[in-house]
Amino acid sequence: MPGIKHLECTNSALSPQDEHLVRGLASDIDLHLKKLDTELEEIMQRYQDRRATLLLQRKPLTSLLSGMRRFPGEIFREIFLYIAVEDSAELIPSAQVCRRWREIALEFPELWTNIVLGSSKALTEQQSRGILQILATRSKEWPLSLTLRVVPEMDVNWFYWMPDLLKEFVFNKPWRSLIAFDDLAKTTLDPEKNARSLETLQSLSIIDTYCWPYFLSDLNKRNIAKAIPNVTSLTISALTKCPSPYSRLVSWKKLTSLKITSNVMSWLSCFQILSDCASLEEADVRTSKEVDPTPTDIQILVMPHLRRMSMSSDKIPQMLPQFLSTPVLEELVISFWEDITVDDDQMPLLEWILDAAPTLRTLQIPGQVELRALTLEHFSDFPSPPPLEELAITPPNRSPIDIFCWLTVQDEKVLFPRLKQLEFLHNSTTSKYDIEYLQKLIDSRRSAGLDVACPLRRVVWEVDGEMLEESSEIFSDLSKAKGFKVAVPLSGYGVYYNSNNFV
Amino acid sequence: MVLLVTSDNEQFNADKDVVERSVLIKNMLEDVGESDQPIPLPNVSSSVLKKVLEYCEHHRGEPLPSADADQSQDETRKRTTDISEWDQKFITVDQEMLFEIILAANYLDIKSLLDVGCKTVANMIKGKTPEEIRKLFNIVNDFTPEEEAQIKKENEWAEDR
Repeated sequence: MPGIKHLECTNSALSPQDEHLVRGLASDIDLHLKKLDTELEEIMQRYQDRRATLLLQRKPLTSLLSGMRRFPGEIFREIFLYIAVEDSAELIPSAQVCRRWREIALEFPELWTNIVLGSSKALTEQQSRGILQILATRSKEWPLSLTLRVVPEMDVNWFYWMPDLLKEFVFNKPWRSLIAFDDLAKTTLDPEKNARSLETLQSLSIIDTYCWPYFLSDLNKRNIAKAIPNVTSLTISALTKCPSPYSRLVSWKKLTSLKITSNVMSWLSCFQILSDCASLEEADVRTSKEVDPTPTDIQILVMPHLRRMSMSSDKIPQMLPQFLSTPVLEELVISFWEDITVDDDQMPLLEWILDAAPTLRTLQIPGQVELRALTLEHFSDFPSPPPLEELAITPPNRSPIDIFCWLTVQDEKVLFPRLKQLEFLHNSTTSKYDIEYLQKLIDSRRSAGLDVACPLRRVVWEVDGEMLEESSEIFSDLSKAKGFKVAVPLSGYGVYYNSNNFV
Repeated sequence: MVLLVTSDNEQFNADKDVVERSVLIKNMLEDVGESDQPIPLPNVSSSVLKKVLEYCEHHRGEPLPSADADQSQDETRKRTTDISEWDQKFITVDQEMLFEIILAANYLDIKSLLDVGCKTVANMIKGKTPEEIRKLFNIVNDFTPEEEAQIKKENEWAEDR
């Protein structure tokens, strides 16, 4: 550096003049550095400002290029249908987003037909009026689906204002389905004041009625079945009481679907009611406590068209099978509230299932039901292969692999040649050994030129939490090796573990 | 194997039973018959087709929804917004990819994929106010003052909440 070169060659202390000179030079450089830093800060600030401006300019361009702008009206309609699937009021904000969304939402009246009052929201009279007004106007003449509930938080005066609102906005518009609390059902099921709505009704659900046999006998007395000629689906749930002779369904001949829930019920009375409906194709019967009266002079109850049946109870009905005939039953689900071991005492039920088996395609017995008394011989005696395609059971006291082989790879014949889906519930005994054994067994059959089994494409193993990791490996191997589609529920029924190795 | 060519000229080879989950491609293959000719997909980019094929591969062999079933579903409105765990993971993509998958599913006529996309968008929208929806999708509020007044009137009942 000029002026101090001679100082750089020595190590001696600086004279006061030299020190003053050096300090002056350093101070100059510090000033320059500071200036440079300030310039850099200014450049950075300008850069950041410019970048922010450009990003701001870019944002609307991204929005302009957005794929959503290219959605045709049908795609928006699909999206809106899913938004309004339970309650069309959920669609109201979407119709206030922009002109295009509003036009599309208002173009399709079917989007506005699901009317729910008092479901999860405690609505006041004004709120209910506002919603009803919007939905009733926008749905035009499309058939409505009404859900009318009463929740504890609701305005206590609902009893006075809700019937009036319904009369003002939705009475005599076409209705497709009605789910209603006892008193509101009575208000709406009025052929004199609401004939047009009832005429188009297809599905009726009476919920939380105090006593459904009483309610049903009241409907029968008023000959309501005649006023709702197109109702094919009836759901009725009660808090108390067994069905009575007055609560039969003899005048409801067109019903194809019936669901009955009661906390105390006799299967016999219940199936007598079911057998009233000659056209019934689907039945769902639930009770928390089943009572079996002593049968006297019972005729066989024939349900000639019943294809799907679901039964749920606290215990297995002892005498039911003796008087029930279901010649075309395809799907049967039997569930129980408590753990049950099916031993020889419960054989009438099993015999009934097996009687139905020649036509059964799906059999599900969820719940802790051990079918101890069910043996292979019960199934293998069929003259022709049973058409079972889906089976869900709790494996009885044996390794599920045993059962798997037992159901699918018999010595010389395939027991269920059409089985596509197999579910083992409440299983905690699967081990790697089981799977290896199964693989060896299938391989040996293949190498012997024998058919492996059936068109099985999906196996669902319900596995205890701690089993999961090991099972994941096992099923990963199995699915790769055998081309099966295997799903392992994480916990509980129907929640599936997911990984790329699984389907 | 079927050869597909995307809008950005990338070629994809896929099994017939995989690509036939697209009704459009299925019909094309039926019309053309046995042929080695590539199928051009001018409305689908390679990044989107890759995702679409991943979906079709996963759902290979499952029954295709019939047109009748679709119609009856509309009528009875027995729809659900539930999405299976695998589909949910598959559709967890950025917003633009989601929209492109929906458009591709619509163009290729893959009903189940279109449903998954639409359900996802519906679930994003549900429970939000109009302003929140605009912000989420960068949508401009283009209502006229008259329309705004109408909307305000429409919302009077909600103020009681």
